Amino acid sequence: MNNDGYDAQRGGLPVKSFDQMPTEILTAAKKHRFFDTRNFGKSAAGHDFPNVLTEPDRAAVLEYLKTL
Amino acid sequence: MAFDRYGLIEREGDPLHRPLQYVVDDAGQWTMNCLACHQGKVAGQMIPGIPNSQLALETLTHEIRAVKLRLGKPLTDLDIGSLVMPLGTTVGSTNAIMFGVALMHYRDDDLNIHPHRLPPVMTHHDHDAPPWWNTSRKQRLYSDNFAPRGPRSLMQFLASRENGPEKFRRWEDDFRHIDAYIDSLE
Repeated sequence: MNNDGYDAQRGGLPVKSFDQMPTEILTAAKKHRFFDTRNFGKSAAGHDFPNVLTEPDRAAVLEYLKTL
Repeated sequence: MAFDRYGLIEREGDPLHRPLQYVVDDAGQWTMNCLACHQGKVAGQMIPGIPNSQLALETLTHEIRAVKLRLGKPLTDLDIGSLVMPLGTTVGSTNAIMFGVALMHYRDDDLNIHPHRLPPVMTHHDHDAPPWWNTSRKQRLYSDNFAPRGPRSLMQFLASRENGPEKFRRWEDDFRHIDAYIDSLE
């Protein structure tokens, strides 16, 4: 990833996913280039609270978030 | 190369090639400023107050400390504190919220410093810096609404030992202006 990278397709920084930390990543500086979702506070499992919303409510929440 | 490694951005047109993320005084002393976390680029464009998604604060601090130890140079509070406190374990994130908890733990209500207190209990977590233009919509700061908004919330990062209570009182007006500037961004 370079400093100017941007993924216009997905709307955000370009990211790659890995099943586990690649074995060649040994130094702390290199490990910091990864977001390890196994760690405390870094889960990527998402939230289940949208399940209680109706489709129109979900759409409304998304529209609100776009205004922020 | 060093700037890329740590997520620093060179000031445009600066013949001395200094980064935006540090204030450099006439004596050549470098001091990290707010833009370390709060000034980055998106798709090559700088936008005022956009989070620095490339900041490698933990790496930067650890490597500066290692070099200072090798050269026999004195360590700062940040160099020492980061031995026990993570500063953001993923590039682009910081443990900013804990700066306030850690630093203010050693102050009383009048901001006098009590360096011999036992360390506070802290829950470390990585945060993304928010874009500054969101601030005007908020009454409290941080994703868990930890801190009420205002100039004093911005000053928590200055609460290292070299800044006594008098400095804080002297600087508060400056931070009112900074807070008003951030509030004006849309």
